[in-house]
Amino acid sequence: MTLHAPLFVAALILGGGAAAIDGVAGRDDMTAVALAEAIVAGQMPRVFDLRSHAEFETFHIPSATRITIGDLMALDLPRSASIVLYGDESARVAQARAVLRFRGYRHVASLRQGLYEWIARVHEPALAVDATPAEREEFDRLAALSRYFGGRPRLDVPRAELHPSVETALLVAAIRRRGC
Amino acid sequence: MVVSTVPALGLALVLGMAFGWLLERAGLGNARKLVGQFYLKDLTVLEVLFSALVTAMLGVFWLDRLGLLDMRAVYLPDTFAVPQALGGALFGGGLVLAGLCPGTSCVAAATGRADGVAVMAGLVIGILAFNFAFDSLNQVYASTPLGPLTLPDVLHLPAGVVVGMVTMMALGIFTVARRLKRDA
Amino acid sequence: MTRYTDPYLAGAGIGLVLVAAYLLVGQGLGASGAFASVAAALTAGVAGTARASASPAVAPYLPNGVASPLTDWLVWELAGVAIGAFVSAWRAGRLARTIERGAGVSAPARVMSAVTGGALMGVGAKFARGCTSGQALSGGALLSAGSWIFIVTAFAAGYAAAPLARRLWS
Repeated sequence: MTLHAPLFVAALILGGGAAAIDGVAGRDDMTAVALAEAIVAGQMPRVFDLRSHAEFETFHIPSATRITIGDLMALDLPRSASIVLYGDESARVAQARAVLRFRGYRHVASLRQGLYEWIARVHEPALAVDATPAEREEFDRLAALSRYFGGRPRLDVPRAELHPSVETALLVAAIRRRGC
Repeated sequence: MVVSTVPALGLALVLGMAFGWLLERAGLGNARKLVGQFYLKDLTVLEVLFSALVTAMLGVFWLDRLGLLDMRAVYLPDTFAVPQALGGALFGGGLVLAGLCPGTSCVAAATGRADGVAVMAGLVIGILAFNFAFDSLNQVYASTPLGPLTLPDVLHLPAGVVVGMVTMMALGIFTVARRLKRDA
Repeated sequence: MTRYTDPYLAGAGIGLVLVAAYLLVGQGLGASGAFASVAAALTAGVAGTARASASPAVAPYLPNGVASPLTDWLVWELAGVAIGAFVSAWRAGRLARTIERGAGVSAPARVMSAVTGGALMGVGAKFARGCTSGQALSGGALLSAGSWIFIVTAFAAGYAAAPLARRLWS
């Protein structure tokens, strides 16, 4: 069937492209916990929030400053500075990273899951009611980190509700369903 | 979107119509054709399922990366490793007996096949039996909850890399399938 | 009678329908959940909604204690599947009041195996939280680990059981 060839090629390009765009970007991703630890350790990464003013005012990662792509094009920092980006739209974050790399900044990382990860892991880490000892240990570590940033660790959370819903526009409550 | 509202239900109807149309067009409303997959006589099930999966997977990935869809707003099923493995095994065995899955049984029934209706009745019976025995089955049913776990999480690879891998695997399967069909 | 559509074309079309579902509704397609809804309504009808709601297996399908397959998204989706399938078969000249079975198989035997297979799938779909539409296709496209576990075990079991069921199809 003559339509197979174009479908095949399209899949090849889109699939290969997916691997390329994430394969390269993947190495430059940072977890929220790693960022938190870097800040606590005094490493002073420059954290940039790519969202709107209103969203920034509602909640942002401590020490972050709001910035636009335009600002990034004129940014003047030492090229060895450690920069961490986060935002709501992965496209904008990718664009911001591309701009910075093009301008010669070598250490640009992004929070792949954006603010959601910071809130879930640093701001409001949660300990399940039936947590294992390993989970308790990890929680203690995260709780200490959380309190440093004025967060609110949560104890005795039912396992089904481990991911918090917060009154910000960012988080979409998970739809608990019984199956399809 | 709250799914019990009228617009959502209207969409359910429309999306379902497109789904049903395409399933019938591919021949998957016919139990003998469907079951041919498991005797390697007719590979339509594999070809349709995986080309649909890859199309949707690539569509979702690129729409997300282009900022047109927020992946976090899409419902991702939770993983329960043991019960889903067990359920898959039971389902596969049942599929070979019945020749139709829940979706295609509706396609078959709608096109006049009484065996489609029989499968639908069987599904309800099986679910009733499960509900009846739930207290004893619950321990297995609720075991090994892993939350919204994805293959990228499990493999410690970026999502795009896994998308690429799944695409290549599917294209490989398709190449073999087409060759098998040509030589048949 | 029209020829069947190319499977890759049909598959790509189904994939696009699925993307539309994610985009417009925020969830994928499914099927077995609709049957669970109907089963819950039947249970409530026979045993009363109070007793039905007391069962943890049935309760999720009785929002506010009311049996409501008519507001269940999946039920409407399957209604659409039936309509779409009917129209397609009608246009293609494939409507037929018949029982698809192997040449050497009697109708009652086929119906029995269909019901039995359906029951097994019903149980399997409950454990797996879905079926080929909900888990394999919709969950698989989202790279859900459990969905891929389902895909692998379902196909493996199918191929393993096939030799045992050969008589049903020949």
